[in-house]
Amino acid sequence: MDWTIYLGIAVALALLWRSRQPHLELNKWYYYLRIFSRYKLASILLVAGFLKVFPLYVPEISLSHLNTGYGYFQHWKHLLLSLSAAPAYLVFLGIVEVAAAILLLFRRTAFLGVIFIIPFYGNVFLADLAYEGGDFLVSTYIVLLSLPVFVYDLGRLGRLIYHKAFTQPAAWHLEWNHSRWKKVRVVGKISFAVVFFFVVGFKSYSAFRQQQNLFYPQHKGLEGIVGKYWVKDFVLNGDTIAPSPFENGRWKDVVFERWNTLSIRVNESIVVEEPASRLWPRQDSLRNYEYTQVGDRLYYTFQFSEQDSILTLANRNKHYIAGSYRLQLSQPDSNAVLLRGTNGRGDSLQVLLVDAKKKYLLEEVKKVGRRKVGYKL
Amino acid sequence: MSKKKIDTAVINHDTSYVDRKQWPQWQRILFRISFIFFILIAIPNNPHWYTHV
Repeated sequence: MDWTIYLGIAVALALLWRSRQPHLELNKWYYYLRIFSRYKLASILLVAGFLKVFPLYVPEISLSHLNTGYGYFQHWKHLLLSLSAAPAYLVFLGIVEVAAAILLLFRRTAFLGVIFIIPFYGNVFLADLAYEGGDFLVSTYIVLLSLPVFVYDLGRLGRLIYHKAFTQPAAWHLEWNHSRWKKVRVVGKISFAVVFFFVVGFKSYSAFRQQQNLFYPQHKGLEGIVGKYWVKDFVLNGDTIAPSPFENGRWKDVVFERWNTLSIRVNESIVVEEPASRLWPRQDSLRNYEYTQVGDRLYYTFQFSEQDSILTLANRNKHYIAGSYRLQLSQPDSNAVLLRGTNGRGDSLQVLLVDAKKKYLLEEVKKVGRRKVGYKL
Repeated sequence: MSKKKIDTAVINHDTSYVDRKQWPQWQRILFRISFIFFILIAIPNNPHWYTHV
């Protein structure tokens, strides 16, 4: 919709421009347009590329997600989980993007860069559609931006590939040495390189080194209590509820993340929240990756008071805004966690959790290397 | 060697001739529209973008 409005404005301004300045040296202006779209594209590709070269673009799979049935994820989440499980593939995608950006920075290699970008982002566009991602306009935008450079050499490409005729490369270029913009050009090029290679590259690298992520909360979780726990005893208002596929109120298992999130698998279907934040927010309260587009578990953010061992849970899904708990945490032994307190409705609750000591294949593989695990079909 | 020099000189400096020869009327109009359109879509117009930087 926005683009239609822009097109309307562009038509109006173009007519005005034509009446004011009927004769234009179009080769020169086309040259300027190509410079503009090359650098705009390169800046986008460098930011996107460095986030993949240092694989921050998708996070590691959380313990809660590893304890969620595959069918509970929406399609888009499946794509992100596949990328999380194979960071080397993400690095490869990043290298392609950075390489294409470098090719775009030079007039003579820009067309080659575009030849990489159009199929690459065309593929991203199809993946966006197939996995029902909401971002297909981003890939459309990138392909659209590459058109001024692509169209410029398209005729020559056709002549060379289709007609197999001898083809001269485009020779027209601005004589910068005679231009008063000579100095501006040098300064511009250097600042572009500093910002998009050194600043963006270094920031991505340092975030990767410090094992930061752009998706999960940064607040630390509970010391010594991380992983999956079975619910051994569940007592609601004094009644012990036995595990049963027909009992809705009982918890099935609990996962404590390394950060301040606790997720509970319950026996009822969950109203899934759609993702709200497309950009990577810095505040924990806006980071909603872990509980959006996925069912099976309820996700709570918690606060723990060391003094009286009180764990306060708040459900972050907007459909469960009333879901909260205030529980006293104690550890009868190192493998067990006892939670006692009340839920948001004032019902009393006592839950005994036992460490499932679950091993995850992804982590086991990392310890010995994938090749040593071996494959048997 | 000297012939090559003359060739590039023609392409580089006589742009008005090349312009008129290469650009039919519809392309000239389309170009002006595209030029403005690409600049409009490339410059962020949402104030939130600038605060996020």
